[in-house]
Amino acid sequence: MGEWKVLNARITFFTVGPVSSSDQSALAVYRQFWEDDPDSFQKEPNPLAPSMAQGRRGGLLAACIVNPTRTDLNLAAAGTDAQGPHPTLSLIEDAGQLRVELTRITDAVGRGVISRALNRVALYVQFVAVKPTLLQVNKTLMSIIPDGYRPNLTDEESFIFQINRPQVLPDVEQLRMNYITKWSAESIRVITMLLPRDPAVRMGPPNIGSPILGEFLAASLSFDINNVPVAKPLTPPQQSSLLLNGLTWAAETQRTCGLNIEGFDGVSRLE
Amino acid sequence: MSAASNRVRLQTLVVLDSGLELPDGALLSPPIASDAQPHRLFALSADSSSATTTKPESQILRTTFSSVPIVSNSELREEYQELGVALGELLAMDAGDEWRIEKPVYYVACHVAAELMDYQYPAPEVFTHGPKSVVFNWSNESTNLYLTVSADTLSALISTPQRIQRRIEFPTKQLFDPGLIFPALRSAQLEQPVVSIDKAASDLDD
Repeated sequence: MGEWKVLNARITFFTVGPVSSSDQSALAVYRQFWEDDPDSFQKEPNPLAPSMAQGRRGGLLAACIVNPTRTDLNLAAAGTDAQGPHPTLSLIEDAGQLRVELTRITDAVGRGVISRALNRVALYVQFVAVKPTLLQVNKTLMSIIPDGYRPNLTDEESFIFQINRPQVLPDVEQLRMNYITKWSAESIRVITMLLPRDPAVRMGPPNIGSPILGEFLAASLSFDINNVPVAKPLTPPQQSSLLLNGLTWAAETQRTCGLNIEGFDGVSRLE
Repeated sequence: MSAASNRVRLQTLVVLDSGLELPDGALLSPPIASDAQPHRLFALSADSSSATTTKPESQILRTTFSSVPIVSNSELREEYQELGVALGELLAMDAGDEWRIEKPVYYVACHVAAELMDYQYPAPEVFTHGPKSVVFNWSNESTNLYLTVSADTLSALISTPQRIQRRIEFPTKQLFDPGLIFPALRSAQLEQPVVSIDKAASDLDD
């Protein structure tokens, strides 16, 4: 099914315990994972606000957001100027590149890149198939929902169906993992602002920030794999093992559901 | 991408239902020859025909919903942002200032505040207690909860105007298991069981 693409992916670290230094900003974390400076960085305005670092990684847009109790690494499609003035929904075309990036992050986690104590890690991936009408969105959703759960939809709006099938991992100290699958009809809105190519050009009315709003209907299948918070902080090998377990499960389950995203199958460790 | 969150809040932008009329002055843009055709497309200002000297910047609204959340966390987060600013100011004060707090206290206080926010506590008032501790205070009808935060200890005092009802102490190393501490404090202050719901999904709350 070539109609399905990845909208975004996220790895989340839930941190516990107070920090011992100020070197936990998004800038530092970005550099630790990608060994490069971000294209943009916003320092936290106060200690309870997030800091954010963002940069391009080939066809991907990598963003690191550090909150006091969680750190998120987001991966999405990097838009291009060639998209034109009309809103377009940028999707990750090369799912294989995404798989490689997620695996690389997982390996880095196993080497102890995250210095703070973690009691929980999570992997989130969202796949979408854009359709022109709600009827087609619902039809697409019904085609990928397993037989035992499939409803009979027509033009209902805001369809959401979510299940969690938790499991205990005997080889990771009996940790309990959540495996959440969500099928939903999404209305994704994209705002495009027209900005001057030359920063020296001053835009006057009526063109100042002329926002154009585009709305895209999409069938969505998303996975959220995470461990139940534990009292004893996870070791780096445990963190990596849990994330890799999630990656493998996500790759297998999207295939089972019939998406067959080219390149996302066969998650394996880097050599 | 939003500076305040890693999810763009729908409340900050125009939300249109399928049956709603276009806003005044809006133009329907020409169709796009693309596989990913938008369901609806319109401009929010009178004229958007400036493609030759402009480049597009797009932002995706990740989520959209028809129902309105019963409780929004935005106000709570704003109150805690003010608390964060206050803690930063206490750290930045001059060395001889009686309100200044030491860095280890600052880090623990910030972490405690972050956990309190995650557990939906109302934002507390903050008092200084010398350079080695700060005090978070909540008033609930006739009782007060004072949480004294130092570098290695949390001390909770629950009192009425007449007497001290309860005193609880935790070492800060127990902050590695916040699920035990904060619901317990809330229950002690309210003198009733506190329902704590573990959320299986890992996404940020709205």
